[in-house]
Amino acid sequence: MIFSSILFILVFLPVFLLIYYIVPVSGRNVVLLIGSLFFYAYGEPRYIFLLLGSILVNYILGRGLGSHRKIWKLFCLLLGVSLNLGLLLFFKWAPGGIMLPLGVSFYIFQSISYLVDVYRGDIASEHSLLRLGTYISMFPQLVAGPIVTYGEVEKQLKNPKVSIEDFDQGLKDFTIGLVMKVLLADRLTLLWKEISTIGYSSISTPLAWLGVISFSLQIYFDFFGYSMMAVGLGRMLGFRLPENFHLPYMACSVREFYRRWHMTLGRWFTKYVYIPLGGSRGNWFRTILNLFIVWVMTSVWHGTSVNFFLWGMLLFAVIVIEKMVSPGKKTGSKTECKNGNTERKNRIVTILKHIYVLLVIGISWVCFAITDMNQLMTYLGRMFGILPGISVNHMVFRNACMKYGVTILIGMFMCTDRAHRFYKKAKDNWLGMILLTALFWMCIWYLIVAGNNPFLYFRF
Amino acid sequence: MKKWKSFRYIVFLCIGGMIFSTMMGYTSAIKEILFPDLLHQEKEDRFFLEKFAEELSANIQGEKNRIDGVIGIGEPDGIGEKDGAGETDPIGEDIGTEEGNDGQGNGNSDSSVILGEAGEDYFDDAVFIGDSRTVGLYEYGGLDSATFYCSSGMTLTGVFGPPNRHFKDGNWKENIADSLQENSFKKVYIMIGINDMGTGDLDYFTRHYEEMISQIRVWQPDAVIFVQSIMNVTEERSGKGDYINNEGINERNRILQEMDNGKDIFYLDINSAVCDENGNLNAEYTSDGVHLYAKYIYLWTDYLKSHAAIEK
Repeated sequence: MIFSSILFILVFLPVFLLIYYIVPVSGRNVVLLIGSLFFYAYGEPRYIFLLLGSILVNYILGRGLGSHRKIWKLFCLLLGVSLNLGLLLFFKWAPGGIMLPLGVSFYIFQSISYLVDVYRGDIASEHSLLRLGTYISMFPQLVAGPIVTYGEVEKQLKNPKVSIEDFDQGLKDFTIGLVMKVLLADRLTLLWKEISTIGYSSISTPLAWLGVISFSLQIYFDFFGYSMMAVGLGRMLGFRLPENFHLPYMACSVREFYRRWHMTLGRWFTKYVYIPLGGSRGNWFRTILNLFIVWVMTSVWHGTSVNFFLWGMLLFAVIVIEKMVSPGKKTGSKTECKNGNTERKNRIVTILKHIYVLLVIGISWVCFAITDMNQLMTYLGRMFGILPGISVNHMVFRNACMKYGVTILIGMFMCTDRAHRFYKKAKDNWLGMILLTALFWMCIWYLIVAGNNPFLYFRF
Repeated sequence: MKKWKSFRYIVFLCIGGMIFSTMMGYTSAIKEILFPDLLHQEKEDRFFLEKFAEELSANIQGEKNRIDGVIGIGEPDGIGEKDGAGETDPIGEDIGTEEGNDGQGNGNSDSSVILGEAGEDYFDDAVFIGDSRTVGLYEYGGLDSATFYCSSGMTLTGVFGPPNRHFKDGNWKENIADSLQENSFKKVYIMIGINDMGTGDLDYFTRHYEEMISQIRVWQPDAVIFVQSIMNVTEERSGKGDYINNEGINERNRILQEMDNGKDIFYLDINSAVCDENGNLNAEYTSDGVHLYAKYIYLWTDYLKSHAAIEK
C-alpha cells in the first residue's frame, strides 16, 4: 500500500485511526503492529516473513547486548551488524530476477541503529518483543523512512498517548506532504517520462535543461512529500518522527546540501560510520578516506548500477574540493549563506553560491536518474550541446513550458524558506485550513483520475 | 477550552468531502472507488451515443450493411464471401514495398486507386487521427503539411468527443467531429485502439471501429481511409500481465485487415516496419515499450510514403 492512494487515505487510515484511538493505551502497540504488518503484507506478501524474521533476530541479539560481559556484547554486535548488512547486500546485488523487498534498506538500517545504540549504552535493550517489533515495523516509516532511532520513539511506545492536537497537526502535515507528492511530483514525473520517450538524442538543449530542473523538483517533492506524510502520520499516532529535509535547495554548498537532504540517512552514516572511523579529526588523508567510504556506502545504498557509483563519486569529489577551498569551520551556524550580511559583495557571493549548488546538484541528479551509461552520456551531451541532436523538434520545449511551466514555478517557490514559513502560519488559521482542504480534495480527485505513481525511492 | 480549535481542520475536510462527492456525483464517487474502469466506459459510451444517435442511424445503415458484408458479421466462417470487394490478396500489387503479405486487396478491377510512392505534396490534404503514438508522428514525423487530430489517451469511443481530459496535443482543440465536418481531406489515416484494450471484447472493438469509419465516410465522402494496424508493443511490455499485450493487438489487427476493400479503405501494416521477427515492437526503437523514439519515427513515415494512394 502506498500513502498516496485512495485505498490508504480513505479506507485504511480512517479505519486504523478509529481502532487506534478507541483501544485503551495498553492495546495500542498491538494495534499498530498488526496494522503495520497488514499494511506491509498488502503490498509485499512475499517478504512479510523476512520482516518478521528480521525483527525476531534483532530482538534476540538486542537482549544479548544487554549482558555485562564485554566479549559477548561484542560478539552479538558483530553478528547483528553482519547479518543485517549481509541481508541488505544480498538483495542489492542479487541477480536480475530477485527484486528488493519493500523498505528493506530502511528497516535494516533502523535495526542496525538499534543494536549499536544498545551496545554503546545510549539506550537500554528492549525487553518487549512487541515494542521492538512495533518500532521497526510501524507503517508511517516502514516503507521509505525517515530512519528513526529507537530513542526517538521509546517514550511514546512505552506510553502511547494521543491528543487531538497531535491528530490535527499530523493531519495537516500529512495533507501538505500529499499535496507535494501528488500535485507537484507526480505531475512533473510526466515531463521526465515524455523526455525519456522522445529519446535523449532527440531533445533540444533547452528541453534537456528543463528536464534537469523538473527532475530535481520531482525527486525532492516525491521524497519530501512522502517523508512529510510519514511525519504527519506518526504525529497522528503521538510519535514525533524526525524530519528528513530542511530546505535543501537553499544550501550554499554541496556539503550543506547533504546536511539538509535525507537528513536521517546522513545522520545514520555520520553516527555509525563517519564518526567511528574518526571523522575529520585525523589528518587530511584519513578524512578523505573516511569521506570516500561513506560516499561509497551511500551510493551502494541507493543502487548497485554504475550510475549510482558515478553519482556518489561526483558528490564525493565536489565535497572534498569544497573542504580544501574552505575547510569546515564549526561556527555553529546552520548555513554557509551569508544571509544576514547586506554588503553588496557578500550578496553577490551568496547568489553565486546558490547557482553553483543548483548546477552541481542538478547535474548529479541526471547521473542519478539515468541508469544506462550510454544514455547518460547522451543526455549530458545534449545538455552542453556537445552531441548533435537527431530528429530534434524545438516546438516540444515550448509545449513543455506551457504544460509544466506553472507547476515548475510553484515548485521552485515551494523550495524557499518563505513558502515554509507561510505554511507554518497558515495551517492554523481559517483561510489556510480552507486552502488545505481544497488542496486535499484536489489530490483525491487527481488520484482517482490519473492513477497512482510509484514512489521513486520504493526500490531502495 | 482551546481544544475545539484542533477540530476545525478535520471538520473542514469532512465538509469538503461532502462537497466533493456531490460534485463527482454521489453514486459515481463510490463506484469510482470500487470499480474505476467501469465508470470511464459508461461515461464515454453515453457521450458518444447521446450526441450522434440520430445522425448516425440514418446515414450509417447503408455503410454498415456494406462493411458487415465484408467482415461477415453473423457469418463466422464466411469472410468476404458476399462480394469480392474484400478478398484479401496475399501479394498486393504495391509499387515500392519490400514485404509481400500485408493484406492489400487489389482484386477489384473497378478500383482507380492503388498504393505506391507518395509525391511531393501528398500529405497536404491528409489528416491523421490517433492516440499518443500519432502524437509522436505529429512531433517527429516531419509531415508538416498534414493535419493532425490526435491526443494522448484517445480512445475508440471518445474519438469524436471533447478533447481528452488530460492532454491536448496536436493542433486541434475543439471536437474532432466538428473539425472533420468543417474541413475536407483526401486521405484519412487512423491509428487507434490500444487505449480501449481494457474495455470490451473484440465485438465491442469491431462495432465501435465500424461506426467510426462509417461516420468518417459520411463527413469525408471523397477521402481514401487508411486503417493503420495498431502498433505492437515490445515483448517485455506485452508480458506485463495487464490488458496491453500483443496477442490482443494482433487479434484486433486481423479484424482491421478485413476492413480493407481495395477501393477506398486500405489497411496499412505499420508493424512490418517497426517490429522484429517475432512480431514484437523492436526493443531498440523504444524506451517505454509503447512509443517510438523520435529518431525512429522515420520508419513509420517512410512506410506511409511508400504506401501512398495514387491514381492508377
